[in-house]
Amino acid sequence: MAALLAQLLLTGLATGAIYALVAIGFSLLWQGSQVVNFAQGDFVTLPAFVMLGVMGYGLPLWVAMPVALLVSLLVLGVLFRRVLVQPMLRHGVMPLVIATMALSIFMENAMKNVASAEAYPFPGLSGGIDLGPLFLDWQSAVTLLSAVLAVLALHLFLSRTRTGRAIQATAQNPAVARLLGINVDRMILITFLINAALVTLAAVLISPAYLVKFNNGEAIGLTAFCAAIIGGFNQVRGAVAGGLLLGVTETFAATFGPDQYRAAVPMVLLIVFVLFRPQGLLGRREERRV
Amino acid sequence: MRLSATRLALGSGLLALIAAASPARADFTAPDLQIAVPAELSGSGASVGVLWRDGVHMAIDDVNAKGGVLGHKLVATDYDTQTNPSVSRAVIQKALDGHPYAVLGPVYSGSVKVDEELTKAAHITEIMGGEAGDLTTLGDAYVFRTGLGQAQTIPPVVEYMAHDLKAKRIAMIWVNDDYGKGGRDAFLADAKKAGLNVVADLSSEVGQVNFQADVLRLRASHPDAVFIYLHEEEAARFLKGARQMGVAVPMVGGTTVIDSQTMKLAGSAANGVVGFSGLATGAPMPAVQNFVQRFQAEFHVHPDHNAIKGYMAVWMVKAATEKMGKPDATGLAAALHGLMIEPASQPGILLPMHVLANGDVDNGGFMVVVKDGQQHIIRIMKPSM
Repeated sequence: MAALLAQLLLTGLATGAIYALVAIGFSLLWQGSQVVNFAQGDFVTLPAFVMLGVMGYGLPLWVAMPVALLVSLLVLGVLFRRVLVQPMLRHGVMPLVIATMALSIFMENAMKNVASAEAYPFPGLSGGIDLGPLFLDWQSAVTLLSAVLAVLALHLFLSRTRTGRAIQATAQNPAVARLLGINVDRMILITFLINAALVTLAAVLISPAYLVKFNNGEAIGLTAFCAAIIGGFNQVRGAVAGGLLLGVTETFAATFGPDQYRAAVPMVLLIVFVLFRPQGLLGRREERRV
Repeated sequence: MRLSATRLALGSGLLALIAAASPARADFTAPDLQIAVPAELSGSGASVGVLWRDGVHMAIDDVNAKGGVLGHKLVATDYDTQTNPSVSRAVIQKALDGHPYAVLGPVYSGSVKVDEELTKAAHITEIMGGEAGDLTTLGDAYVFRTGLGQAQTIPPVVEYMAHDLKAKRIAMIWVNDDYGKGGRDAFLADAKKAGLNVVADLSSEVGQVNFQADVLRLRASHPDAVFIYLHEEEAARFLKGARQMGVAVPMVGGTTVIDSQTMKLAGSAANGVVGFSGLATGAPMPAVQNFVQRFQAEFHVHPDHNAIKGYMAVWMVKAATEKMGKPDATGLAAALHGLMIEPASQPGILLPMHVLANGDVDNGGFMVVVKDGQQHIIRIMKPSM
């Protein structure tokens, strides 16, 4: 039994690590420019299709990955901000939320029209290592390691570099940050670019198991959104904690709970947190006067 | 005036050229026969629905190229069920409002179950791709299969597990919809008779993307073999997850585990999987192989059993209509019941087919193993007609 629990924990952490990467994007965009991006799941699907497209020309994955990253930085970073966020943000948060919902529908249908409604295989790692009662498959190991490294790199960037601290200052109070001479627009753009890079990494890690399909973003987007809320929407480390907690909870619930209700786990957890700890695991309370 | 005459001559010539270049519409003096084709063109079942639709279209082109059905041209209208039973019901109603000669589709059992009462009420024949056992046990005289139902496909699978594999402990994973529940119930009943012990009974959802927890539960049950009853995409995801986690016991299932879509998506993870199908694209029959080659050439994808089903559905309509001697939409179902269709008279019926009294069909079947991404027939079951 202990071996099974340890195996479940390991598997849950690997799943949760991907949720965390996507959830961090939610958190970053919210802190940077008050954007709740409901197209975030589709942001994961797009680079996966770009990589498939590049590999369709006979090129290997390691060539396709930087191409997808470039496309993501341009489309999901620069264009997303310039074309959708900037014009809509002046009308308030809610119109922008609705705009990202519309973007999600548009992206799904565009990907379906271009790549058809079929699922596509994506290269991944097979095999693993038997550690006595535990089995560590290479794909989960790489997923976990990549996610940990990405989160660590992001943490170091935000806390140890001048640009990172400027981004944090912008997130905390853009007006004061501007008074201090920080180029707020540039900092916000960098958060969008970081998000684009994170979803590209998530695409590489998740696509071997999930396959690549135009509507994959629905599931991962919703789960990551829940993870961000559960962890604390206004804290990057909260998004990490929320993602991991959700991954582990989902895995345990799917193993020991009734199969038919497993899809409801993220929502149930979300409701519990909203009711009893609305700031999330590691989030800070925010008050707004109207 | 001279200019007008020149224009007139040029115009007439152009019209003559267009008429010459157009398909020989004049060959069809009789009114067109409208065929409604509801299928899963989007949503989680799109990979199978699209193949069904393409199979139907290919057959309609073939039939029309040979003069149609008793001189009537077949004209298809596609409808997208979005792999959603409630949408399926709505589009079938829309299709029936257009007074089709027959309804060919959909593929998913859950959709068929909610829409078959509409075609029954309209006295319009529905030839569909569903495999759930109860689709033809509800007393609907207007619904027909194009391939074997679960009552025919599950027993050979159980027999293979019990006698060929000598398995005792079985873990099963199934999809929680009409297709999956029907397969689970049929398997449990037959497994009990065969003395198989089901040690893990795992349900999953349509469109499920993460099977890691299921694989862990399966591993923990220490089975001798695994019975898989999932749709194609989910089967591929499960196989990849199981192989990734080092599951090495034999995996056996229904038609979908050996489907070309599953093989394509699962890649090497599908190797060694065994399944039973009434219509296998790897069947060593010239008619089947010819179909596979033509389908690939036309649509640039490898067909699966759903493509064959869609293709044969049109030829079933043709055979029954020719039996009646005239197109009669309300009489089509009666003409199909008990009909024995031979490839010699209907070349699009790739295998001899007996339409049974309840709408099931019997055309034998194939036990297939996947090797290097290809179907290899390990046993051929002859039809019991």
